[in-house]
Amino acid sequence: MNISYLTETENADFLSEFALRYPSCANNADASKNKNGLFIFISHTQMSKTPRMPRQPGAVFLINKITNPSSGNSRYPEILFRHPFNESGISDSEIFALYAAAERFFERKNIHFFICPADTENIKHVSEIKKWAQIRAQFEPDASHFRQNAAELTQSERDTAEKVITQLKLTQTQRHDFLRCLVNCKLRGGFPEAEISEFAFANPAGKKERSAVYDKLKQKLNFIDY
Amino acid sequence: MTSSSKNSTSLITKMYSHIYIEKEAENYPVTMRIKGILKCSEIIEITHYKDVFNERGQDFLMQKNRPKLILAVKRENLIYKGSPMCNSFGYENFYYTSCVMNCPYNCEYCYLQGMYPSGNIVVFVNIDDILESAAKLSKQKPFICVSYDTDLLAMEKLLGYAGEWIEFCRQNPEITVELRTKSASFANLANYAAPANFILAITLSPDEIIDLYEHKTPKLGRRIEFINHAVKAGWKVRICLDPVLYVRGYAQIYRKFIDDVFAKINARDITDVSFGVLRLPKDFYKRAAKNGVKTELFAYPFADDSQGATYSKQHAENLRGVIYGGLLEYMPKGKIFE
Ligand code: SF4
Repeated sequence: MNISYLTETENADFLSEFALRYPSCANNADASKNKNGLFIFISHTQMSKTPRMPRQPGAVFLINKITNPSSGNSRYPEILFRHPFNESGISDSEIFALYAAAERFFERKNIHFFICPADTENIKHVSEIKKWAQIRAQFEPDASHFRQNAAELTQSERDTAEKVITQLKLTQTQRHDFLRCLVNCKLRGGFPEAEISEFAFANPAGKKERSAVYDKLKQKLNFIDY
Repeated sequence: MTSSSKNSTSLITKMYSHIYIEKEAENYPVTMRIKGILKCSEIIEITHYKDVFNERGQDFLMQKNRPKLILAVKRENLIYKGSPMCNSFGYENFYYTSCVMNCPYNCEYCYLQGMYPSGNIVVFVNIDDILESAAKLSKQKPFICVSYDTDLLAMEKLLGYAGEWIEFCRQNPEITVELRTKSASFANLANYAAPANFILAITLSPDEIIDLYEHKTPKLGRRIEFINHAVKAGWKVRICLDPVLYVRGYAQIYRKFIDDVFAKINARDITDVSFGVLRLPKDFYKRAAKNGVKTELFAYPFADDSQGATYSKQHAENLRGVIYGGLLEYMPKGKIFE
């Protein structure tokens, strides 16, 4: 799990560079690269210069709404995990643009924006946030148990399937279909080793016959009575 | 701008940790009621519910586990013509309304997961407008289903919408309302007298199915108790075996289930029974798969028909045979709907 956060100086540098480079940097990004990582953005805000920021001194805020003051549009970061922080909305065009860019790199549930007023002890906040992020990252696999895990084929099951695929000279679409069928069988009751093994030795002559054998195989798989 | 302190006990947010409220929805009585009950929730003002509900890249399943509430004003389509996928029970004029989108329960086969981009729950706070447009249909003597895209009774403590529909029935005797539920809390109805034009449609499933696929819903025994309470108090009860699922050992599971149900419920007390094999809107798989839903339920071959997608003919007929045959032993033909 990759935890990204910015120090105060990096943050300032990033924001100025970001303003110049966005949106081209976001468009050219490899969105899949960091999809599973966390993106933690910490902005150290000069309260006096930004009157619409949270004002409580000594606090750190997890942002739940980001408004672009010029357009009036808002984005709502996903908060799916419990946290010990205060929450707040914020109105700031640069942070709004940064959030839009972050969405291209990371899953929404993994993007967290924090605001620390600049006159508070930043080091303390950063370590508090980092500690939470680490617990949260570890916790995520547990949270995803609500997602039903798809049955996966084991290597030896794949090997058996590949023999059939080669023997029947399946097309890419048929191959995809056949593998999905096998996963479905596995979900329903078990890998149909016996049912497909005979097809690994089938010897259909010509395209038409191959396709008939494939239809028979699919029919067989679809109606296995577990 | 809002802010509040939090104590973390578990890392998953609690149910309704956040309430997103459309500016326009702020002053409705149900908004006040919800805010009064969920005092610790974070309140976030929004312009339009779609800004949150239709966001790209939401994690439907994680949201479903701990949904947020979105309070909105329904501006159009307050009432819809009933879908041909649903049973109209012989009524010529069949309608349905969605005063709430999404449901606090989490059934794995739920078609909503393929319909909505979000697992969060939208509550339309202008229930009076919805009731008013339903009342305008009274000349057609319609049948209106009010709890299709949600489970209103399961949310009754928070919303009070089932109560609103019960009162509506009293004032509109020519309109028949069906409220479908898997809830088992009779306390939610205890303060109302039962109107003759209000049908409590209670969905039953075998415990094997409830345990595996109907997350967060009450067990069969509790739903049966609820039916017996309701019947005793004079409510019209419809039993819904919907959807029936093709699972390993389906014949024994469903046969035993039907016998158990009618051993505990007097069939003569029941208005009618409806059943239906699992059927889904055609593009359901695409969206459900996109939402990461991978379950044994969808691992059977499905076939498209004019009304959506359902099991292959052979699977569906096997299943139908078991259910219809079982029901016929307890209910007359005319009271069984499919
Ligand atoms: S009770 Fe009905 S609406 Fe609610 S999750 Fe289950 S199937 Fe869906």
